[in-house]
Amino acid sequence: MITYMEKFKEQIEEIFKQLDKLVEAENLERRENGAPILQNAEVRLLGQASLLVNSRVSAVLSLALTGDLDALLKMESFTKESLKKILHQHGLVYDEDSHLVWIPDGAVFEELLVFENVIVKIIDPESALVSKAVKAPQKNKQLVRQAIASGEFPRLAARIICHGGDLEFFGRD
Amino acid sequence: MDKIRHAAKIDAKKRKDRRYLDTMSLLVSKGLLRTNMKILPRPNSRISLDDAVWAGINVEPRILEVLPAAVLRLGRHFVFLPERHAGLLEVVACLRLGAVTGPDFMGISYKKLRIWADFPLKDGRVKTVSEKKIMRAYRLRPEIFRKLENMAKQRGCTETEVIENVIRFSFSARL
Repeated sequence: MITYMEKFKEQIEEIFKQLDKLVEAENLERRENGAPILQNAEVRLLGQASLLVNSRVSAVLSLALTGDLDALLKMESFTKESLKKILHQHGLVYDEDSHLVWIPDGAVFEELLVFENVIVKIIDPESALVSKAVKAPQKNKQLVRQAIASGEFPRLAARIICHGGDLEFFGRD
Repeated sequence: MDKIRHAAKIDAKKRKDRRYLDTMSLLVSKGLLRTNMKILPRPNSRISLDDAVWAGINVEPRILEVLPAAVLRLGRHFVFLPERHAGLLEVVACLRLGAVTGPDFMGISYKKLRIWADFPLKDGRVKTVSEKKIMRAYRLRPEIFRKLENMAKQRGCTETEVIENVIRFSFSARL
């Protein structure tokens, strides 16, 4: 049985494969015209999407997400506009406020997809949860509680306190 | 830590609550939310707005983020007493008008709420706010009306499309 997590992962793969092909085609045209080619793009997935594509996390946490995609984009404007169009076709919206997402010290980005022109990385789940717990505790109260109670993220509680989060908040009803 | 574990157990029970499951069934099947939980899709269901608000406050806050747009775009799927949801309906009224600014809803900024009014849904028949046509009645002089009819016939389009094109052209000509 295909789980939603697998479907979402396939969708993410399809989105960035499409982007890679677009960049490839654009570069071909630019080479022919003697124009400077597009640089390789890097996408760092943050937020709920980074948790949902992670099979280990998706197996222990109940996740819900709206259609917005939080990600740090290192790419040229042509690539960014193309990505936004592709996301729209897939029923997703790029969150323009993604650069405001706080990334805690010690966060690690792992490679998720590597194409010729596009690399997609995801933030490690514990850091994503720390960020949510410290910066948006109300919106993520139940999620953080479930993550702590699962025992799958042994340093989560300590990191929340270390970064100034209120751990007691998650114990309140 | 014990308090957190205890609260997590209560949360797990709430995730089995009918109010939460009904709300998620509708919002997930319409494409306003996604989830990794096993949710029975019920795209034709009618749910109580009270239940949806309860689910948003007690189980999944992301429900609250898409709720005003859901009420606007999927109105007939919600049962509610307007006087109980004045704040929410005020947001919905602003979204309907396409207002750039408007009131927050349960701590969620209007800017964030607005995104979902123009978000493509799985069901292509449900139009976004910017696509939805507004119905108006105008009294035209017979001579103008005949010209309008003729223009539509000549161009093989509807009378509405003729009016839209004339207005679009006059704006672009000014620029």
